[in-house]
Amino acid sequence: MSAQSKPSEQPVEKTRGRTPNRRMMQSGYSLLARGEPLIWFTGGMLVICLLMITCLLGFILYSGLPTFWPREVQWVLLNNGTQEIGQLQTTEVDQNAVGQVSRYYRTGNFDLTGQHYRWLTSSELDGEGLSKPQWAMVVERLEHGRLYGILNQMTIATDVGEAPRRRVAEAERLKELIETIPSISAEILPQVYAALASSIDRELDAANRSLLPNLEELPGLLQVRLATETNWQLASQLAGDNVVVASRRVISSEADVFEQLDREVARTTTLRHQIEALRYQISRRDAQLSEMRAEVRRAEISANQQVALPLESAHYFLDQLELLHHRSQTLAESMELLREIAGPSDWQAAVLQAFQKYEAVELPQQVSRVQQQLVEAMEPIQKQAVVIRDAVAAYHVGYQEIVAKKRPLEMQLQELNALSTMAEVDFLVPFAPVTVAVEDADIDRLVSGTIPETLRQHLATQSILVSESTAEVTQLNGRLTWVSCTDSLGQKHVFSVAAIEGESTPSELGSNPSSRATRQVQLLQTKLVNCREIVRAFPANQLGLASKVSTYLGRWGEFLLENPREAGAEGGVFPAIWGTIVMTLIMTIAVVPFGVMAALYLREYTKSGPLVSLIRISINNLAGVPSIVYGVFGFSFFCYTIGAYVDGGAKNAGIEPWPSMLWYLALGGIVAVGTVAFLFSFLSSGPSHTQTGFKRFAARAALVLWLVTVAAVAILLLKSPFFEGFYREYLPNPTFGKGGLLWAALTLSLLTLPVVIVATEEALAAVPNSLREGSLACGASKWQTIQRIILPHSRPGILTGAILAMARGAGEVAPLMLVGALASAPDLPLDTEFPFFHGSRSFMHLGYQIYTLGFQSQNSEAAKPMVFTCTLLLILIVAALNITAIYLRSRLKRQFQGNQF
Amino acid sequence: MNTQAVRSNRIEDIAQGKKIEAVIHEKVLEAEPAVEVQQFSLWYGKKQALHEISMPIPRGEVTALIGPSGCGKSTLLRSVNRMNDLIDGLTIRGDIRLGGDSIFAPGVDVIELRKRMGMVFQKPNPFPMSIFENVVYPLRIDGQRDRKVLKDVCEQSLRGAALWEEVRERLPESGLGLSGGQQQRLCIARAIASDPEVLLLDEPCSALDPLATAKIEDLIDDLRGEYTVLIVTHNMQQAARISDYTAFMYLGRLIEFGVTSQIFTKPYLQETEDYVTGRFG
Repeated sequence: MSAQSKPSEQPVEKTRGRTPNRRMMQSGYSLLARGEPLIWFTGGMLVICLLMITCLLGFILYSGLPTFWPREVQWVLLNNGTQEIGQLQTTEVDQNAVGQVSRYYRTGNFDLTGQHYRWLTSSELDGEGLSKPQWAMVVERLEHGRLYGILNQMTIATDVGEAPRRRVAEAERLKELIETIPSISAEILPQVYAALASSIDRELDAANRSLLPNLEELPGLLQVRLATETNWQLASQLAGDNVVVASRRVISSEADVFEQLDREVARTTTLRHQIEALRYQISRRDAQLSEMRAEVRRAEISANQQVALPLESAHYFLDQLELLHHRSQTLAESMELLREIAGPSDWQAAVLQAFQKYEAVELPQQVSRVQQQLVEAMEPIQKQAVVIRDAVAAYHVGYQEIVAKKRPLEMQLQELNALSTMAEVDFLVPFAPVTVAVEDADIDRLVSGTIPETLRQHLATQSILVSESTAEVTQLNGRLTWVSCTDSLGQKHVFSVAAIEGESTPSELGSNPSSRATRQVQLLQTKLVNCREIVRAFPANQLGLASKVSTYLGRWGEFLLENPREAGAEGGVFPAIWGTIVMTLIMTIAVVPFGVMAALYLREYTKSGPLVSLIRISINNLAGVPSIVYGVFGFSFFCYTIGAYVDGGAKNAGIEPWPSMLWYLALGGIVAVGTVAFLFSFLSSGPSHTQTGFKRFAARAALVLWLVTVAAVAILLLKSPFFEGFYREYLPNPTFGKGGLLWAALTLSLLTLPVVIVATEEALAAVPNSLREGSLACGASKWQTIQRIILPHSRPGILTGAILAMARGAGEVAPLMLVGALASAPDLPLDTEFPFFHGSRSFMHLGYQIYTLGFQSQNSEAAKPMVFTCTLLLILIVAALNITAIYLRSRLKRQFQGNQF
Repeated sequence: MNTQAVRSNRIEDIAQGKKIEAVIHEKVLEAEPAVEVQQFSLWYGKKQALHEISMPIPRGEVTALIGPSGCGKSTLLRSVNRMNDLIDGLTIRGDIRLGGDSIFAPGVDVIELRKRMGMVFQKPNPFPMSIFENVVYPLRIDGQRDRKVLKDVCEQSLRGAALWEEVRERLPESGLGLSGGQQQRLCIARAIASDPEVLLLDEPCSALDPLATAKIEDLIDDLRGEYTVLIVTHNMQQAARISDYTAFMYLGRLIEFGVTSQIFTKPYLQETEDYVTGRFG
């Protein structure tokens, strides 16, 4: 090409003996010849691959890492007057409307609103309606997900002792008495009540003063509020029956409340852990009980077996006795008949004599013999009866013992439960259509204790029908009005009503300019939460960086170490992590020896031929079978056949066992076939140069016969009429006859077997032949060569196979659904409880957790952040397992590579 | 003794597939044989690699096998310790005797047989283990665990392979860390560790530089008398330098077998002379 562009050079080229044609070729192909396009191409492909992987990891990190970061809580006023509170998750530009932005909020408060998340478009948002209340709290609860609300007040119930309780009882009796006497006028009643209340108050005051050392620990702005009748009932309901509560302390400054709340949450968390530990202990006792029941059942089963034969003979002897008895009766009748039909004669006398002799001598002898036999037959039956009686008696003794041991635990549990329910806190949360316009007069009425009509209608739309008499309104701090009312169903609702009056609007609640004619009354619902329900509560908007980081790390810690809550959407995934690791390790332990053995045989012992090629192709194809197929196989084979067989023998597995004669015959046949197979393999051995047609035939026959023998032994085991299972006393509850960790691990080891075989075969093929020959030439046998040279040399490659298998197995989910993974299985498959490894237990798995969270949970939106954190964790676990294996491999490799250069 | 090599038409005869008679010098027949190859033929599948070879290998001497590539030298060598057993589709006829006993007899234990012969390959093949373990490998597989015995044998063998002085300080290091020549001597040490009767060397110097080759040749010289050595080599000078007897093979047939000095100076056959002088082959 350059030749064309510079024609003047052509003659020079010619004088140098190069044709222009050749030069063109050179310049045209030089690029390819130097290989640069290919370098760019291949390099570009590599970059694309890396980019895709980086994007994947980056996306998971980006989505997974911020899950636990405490975002700020926003209070949003909408144009239609409703309010929302929540954490902003994402902001998206709306595609349908220009300039519109959609904001995605996590609004929580599922028990109030029925949703966890909400999209808000900018047209819905009020321009100035966004605020970040200082005391907006994020509350993680045991149930119903998160709660977002403004910290309001907290009450703590304490026991004040005997005197106030007595006074309350007396007051109640008095009140009852007064109400039953109609002549007492209604006007006096309030005064009586007031006197009663103040008398109770005095008692409580005295009691509170006696508790002063305790009370003084509380922050300065604490008020000791005395229990009015309503509060009293509420408090005693809360406290349960054991701790009688007579006083509620109300804390009012937000900071103080928060401080107290923090302390209370820490306390109830400790209590909750204690309760969990107690529950676990109690459940252990229950497990012991069921174990003991199984013991009795086992004794019954074995007794039934032992008794079967004696019982049969006992029945036989009983029949005999009956027969003899019958005979003795008929004997008398027959003699009578004989006397009737025939006159006295010789033959009659002879027959009668014989009859009498028989009746007097032989019959009693026969009877006593049969009785003796019956007694003998009954002996083992009685013995077994004694055994069972003893077993039952032992069970009863043990039962009493365990129940006795359980009782203090249960009492302790009750006490702890009571202790942990002593405090509750309420939060101001938005109440769906928030703003209600009421007249000025209505507000006065509200304050004076009646609920205005507007508000009543409004509440009616919320299906809360307020009965006037129970409404109670209290003013607090001059700005919040409390309406506590009972609906027609007797259920209690507590509302906080904020009067928005222009400049006096509490800024942190957001505001709407109020009209002159009517006052806007914002209804804020108060949500009462018992402190024991709270896992973590923090004021997200006023956390410093340090406390944000500590909250973040604390949530990660919870995520890694705790059990899941709310179907996995909250809490931790420790059982899933543990299940994944244990299952993967057991799978590896199961698959590697099998795979290595198979590969060794394929590579070192077989001679190449169509059969070996077929086997190899089949193995490679197995690697491509969809994993759910393995799941189905594992489910039907391991769980329902092998597992059921282990549980209760052939019949339990749905297999008709052979009669014992046939079984013994088959056993004999198998022994014969095995012997012939052995003989053939012996005959076929020897070096290849001495191979004759017969030897080749013998080798093939031996292979076929060995296969037949192995298959027949398996069938024989399954068809055995003698084996009746290891766990039949638990039947019909399956022990191994259902999904479990062991079956899952074995199913996955089947799935990963091809990977191990292929990798091992490659590793074996990579061992230089010169090493094999060198070893053989030294006089090593084949097995010694394999053991000392080939296996050590290929160990890194085998480990590579194991790594691949682990990576595949740890990430596999589909088969696990069928063979034992559950969304919630708090019992760990490997724990500190004897026998430590529980192969029959169901387990949790991170991959399955991702699936259930993402697709199966009722509330998949709330679980979405957890999906990414679980994914991140799964990747980290697989990476950790792999890095360990790679480290081991590199250490092994170093062992075999000298510093040759 | 002939003064002039006889020109026979053996090359053409072989090409035409005729049977030919090997020329074996009387001196060879006089020597006491350690290994006797008798009418030995070998087929790889359908392809015949060795044609009725008969030759005695004298005890305690160095016998070199020479011939152009593919003439069956290595096959013959590997037949002596039955390394060819590993190959599929192998057929043999005839016999090889070690100390008068057939090595192909049905009762012969191949493993025991190989323990009586040391073999060194074309490329050094030390095992991926320490120098010490490399040398005592034959004893290890026999189950020898006595540390003292192993140490003694290791030192003896390494001295025997003229490697002791070079590696005595680094016995626990990997055998792969040695140079090529050292590796080959290590393989020789391994081959003589089990005190074999016969040493089979399959072109032991072909992968080595001249200095290393010289060392190995000195070593073979030292081994003479103690072991019966059968060496395959492509290097005429080497065969002439180190061997007592030389056999010339061609296309799977033994052509001439005699005392080395005679083969290289006054062979009976013209073909042999042509080959050793480089005019043919």
